[in-house]
Amino acid sequence: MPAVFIGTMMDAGNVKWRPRFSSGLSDDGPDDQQLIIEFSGVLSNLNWVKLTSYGYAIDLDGLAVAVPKLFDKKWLKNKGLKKADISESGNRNYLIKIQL
Amino acid sequence: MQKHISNLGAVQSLEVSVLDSVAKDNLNGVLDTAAELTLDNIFESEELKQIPVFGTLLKVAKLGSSIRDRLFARKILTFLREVAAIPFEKRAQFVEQLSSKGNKQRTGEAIILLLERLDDMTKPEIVGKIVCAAILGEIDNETSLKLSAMVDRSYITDLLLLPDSESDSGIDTDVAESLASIGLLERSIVPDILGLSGKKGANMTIYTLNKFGKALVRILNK
Repeated sequence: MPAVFIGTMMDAGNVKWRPRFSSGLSDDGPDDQQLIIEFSGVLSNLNWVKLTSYGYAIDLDGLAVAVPKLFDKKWLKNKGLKKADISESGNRNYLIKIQL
Repeated sequence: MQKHISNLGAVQSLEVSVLDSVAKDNLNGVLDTAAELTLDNIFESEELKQIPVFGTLLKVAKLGSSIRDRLFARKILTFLREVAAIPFEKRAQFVEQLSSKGNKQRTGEAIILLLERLDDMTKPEIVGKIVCAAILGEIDNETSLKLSAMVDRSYITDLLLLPDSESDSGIDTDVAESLASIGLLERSIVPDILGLSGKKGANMTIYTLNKFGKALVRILNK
């Protein structure tokens, strides 16, 4: 089962985060090594979302700095940039899938 | 070098002798004895004369008086060092197959013309690895010639970044464009749903390995 987190950007630009499925995760992370983020807001304003030569990527180290409470985890440490499959699921709603 | 490239008979000898060298028994042993050769003494080596292409080159180049001749010899030497890692039987079989299909002369000519043109000493090594892959049947002969031509057209520092193109960090888009222009990466135009390239919804170009790029990455990563 993947680890799923929800991020909602407020009008002021700050993001409220909460886990959807992450309870009981071991130090090794989700057993399928998949991280999913359901995000509402403007992703281009966030410095942990990157554009690379092959498409979108998420800077997991940057994400851990931005949201240490949820993402400063052993299973996400020193992963750096990871390829991300980002799809739009509605107006300013995005589904981000990352294979760790 | 211009002198012997303009000499048709000499080129014909070179193109045949380069593949005779590929098929030579104990190639590795001979090259080992010539391990310390420099540009200054490359034409003085008695050991290298045992390798057909160097025998021909020495005659053609009139004792290799020019720097260009010596660099050419060095490129052939580097190429053969890679090829020599393949067992003799496989090398001999490869050249025999080219011969039986009437492709020996054309392939030899392509290798000679290519090696002569290469502008960096890492490239003959890469071309050697490509020919090794052809000898081992991992790619066909046409693909090996196409890949070698792409190596020739590349800027070497960009080419060495090719294996990184599908890593998580990706590569600089200028490098990706350069590798796409020589046929190793495929450009795809996709909508930028996040607007990271400028305007949200505008198109952006992303780069992925095509079949030639994938084949070359496999060869470079060996």
